[in-house]
Amino acid sequence: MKMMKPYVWLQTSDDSIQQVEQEIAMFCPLICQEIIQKGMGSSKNCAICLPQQVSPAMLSLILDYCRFHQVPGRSNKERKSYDEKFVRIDTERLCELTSAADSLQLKPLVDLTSRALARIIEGKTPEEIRDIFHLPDDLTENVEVEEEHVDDRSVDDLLSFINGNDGGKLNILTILIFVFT
Amino acid sequence: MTKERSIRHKYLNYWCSLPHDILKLIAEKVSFVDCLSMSKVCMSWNGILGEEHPSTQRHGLPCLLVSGRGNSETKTCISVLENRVWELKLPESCGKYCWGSFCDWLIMVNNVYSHEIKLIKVNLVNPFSGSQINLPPLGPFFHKMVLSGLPCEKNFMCMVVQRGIFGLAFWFPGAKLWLPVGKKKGQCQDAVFCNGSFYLLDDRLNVWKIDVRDIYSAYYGSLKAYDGALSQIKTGFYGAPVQNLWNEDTKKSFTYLVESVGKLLLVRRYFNLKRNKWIETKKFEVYALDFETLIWKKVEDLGDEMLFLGKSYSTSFSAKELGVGIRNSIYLCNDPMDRLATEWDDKWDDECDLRHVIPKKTRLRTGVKNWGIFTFGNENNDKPFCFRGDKNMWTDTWFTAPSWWCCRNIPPIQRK
Repeated sequence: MKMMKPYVWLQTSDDSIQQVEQEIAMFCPLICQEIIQKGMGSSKNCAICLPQQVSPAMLSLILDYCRFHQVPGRSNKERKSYDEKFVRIDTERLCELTSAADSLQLKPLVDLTSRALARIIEGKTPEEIRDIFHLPDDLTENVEVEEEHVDDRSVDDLLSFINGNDGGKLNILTILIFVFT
Repeated sequence: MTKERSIRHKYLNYWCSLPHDILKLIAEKVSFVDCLSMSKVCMSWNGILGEEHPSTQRHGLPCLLVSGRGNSETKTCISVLENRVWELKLPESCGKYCWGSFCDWLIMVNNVYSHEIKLIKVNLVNPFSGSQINLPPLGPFFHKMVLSGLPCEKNFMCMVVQRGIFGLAFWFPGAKLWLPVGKKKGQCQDAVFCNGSFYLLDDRLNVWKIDVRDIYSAYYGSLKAYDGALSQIKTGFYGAPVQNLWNEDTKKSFTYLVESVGKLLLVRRYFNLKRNKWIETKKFEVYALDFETLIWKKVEDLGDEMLFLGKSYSTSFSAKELGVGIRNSIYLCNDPMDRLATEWDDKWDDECDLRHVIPKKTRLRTGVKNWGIFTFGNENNDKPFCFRGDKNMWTDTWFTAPSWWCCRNIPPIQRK
């Protein structure tokens, strides 16, 4: 069996190169492939070029995550509480972290961060989500979101109106009609 | 810098350019209502979440397809959870009858004649993706069709259930004809697919199970020697505790089989006959089959589930996963009194003008609302039921508007 090299050289998006414990770095499938299949990372000259999503700050966060989970014998409760604290960062960094983890194919971390992002989105209106994620409001001008039609009457009012009192024909005049194109 | 360029520059600085796959992953982790809100955030998110893909069963919005007039190219759909009615353009439905559904697929049938023999032509239509699958023609004596899964999946199978006798036929991609399976005493009241098997309910409320693998082996194994006898296919018998389920009220009840997150449910709907004309639902009972002991256990609380109950198709959704709707409820549509009737019997004229095919019994439903909600734990209240909608001519069909289509076409759902 080939002897395990203790360190591996990684190059991040800003072209800086750093040495990382191989055991830890191997947690990321992308790095693992580079080492095993291409024999990269053994020296500074053949450092593994990480995807551009991985900045030094993100790499350091990701390695922290791997370092914690690499230790055997931790209880599920410990891991869960670490994970919870780990994603308590601002949304911007959370997005960056998700993209970086995704580019390194580190699925457990992608899952963790995307769940955290899902929790941020839950229960919010499109406007609120747009503000949080600093996204352009380029949809309403092009796509008709007919908010003026939204009916805030109670269900029963609405239905007794639809039905009429004689249980007559369905009256759909006041309700949005979407034509399938 | 021009205004346009400065805006573009600003957009480039927007820090959240999540990879498409990540955005989809997040959308899977939020409720349907949240996913709909996400799709209204910006063009890019709308494009990603509105990307067409084959639906999965629990991803989308449950809707009621009102059968309406068969000669119209548009069908009325009631999105019961958001009190919205919309028109679905469905040219494929013209001159046809909707026999049932599976998720976003509809089963459309019409009469054809081959050497003066009347046959039923069956098309599986996905009005959202535009896909269509033609099945071999059938004899006109079946009353229900059950699909095992999405027709776009390779290993899906259809089963049709005969009226009057316990006769079945199966079809799957690759089979040239329907594989008939018969016949034993009794009638099949309802049928459903659950965990790799078809389950059938006979008129004594016994449940029969047919594993799809046994159908494949009957077809491929002994094709020549096959005589279409039920005995050749292994049938599991799941005796229902007759003393509990078979009682005086049985005659005034409909019984449905429903699949709900891997559970097999038996739902009984008790009713009064009002002036012999229409049914007025009194109460519901739900039983779940314990697959180990093969005993039906009464379910007092459906938890987070909402059952959508109908003659042609029943399904269930989680109120939490949808983010809208009343949990622990049964959404029902009104079935015709003769549940084993096929709507096209004797009434289908040569022009296929479906205005004439209204079966007599169904026509008696005048004055009955076509759908309603029953919430458990509300029985002692004055109004455990809330009937809505309009009277209608045929059996209405529950179906699912797929998530991607909703993201493209419907505005966000207001939270209450």
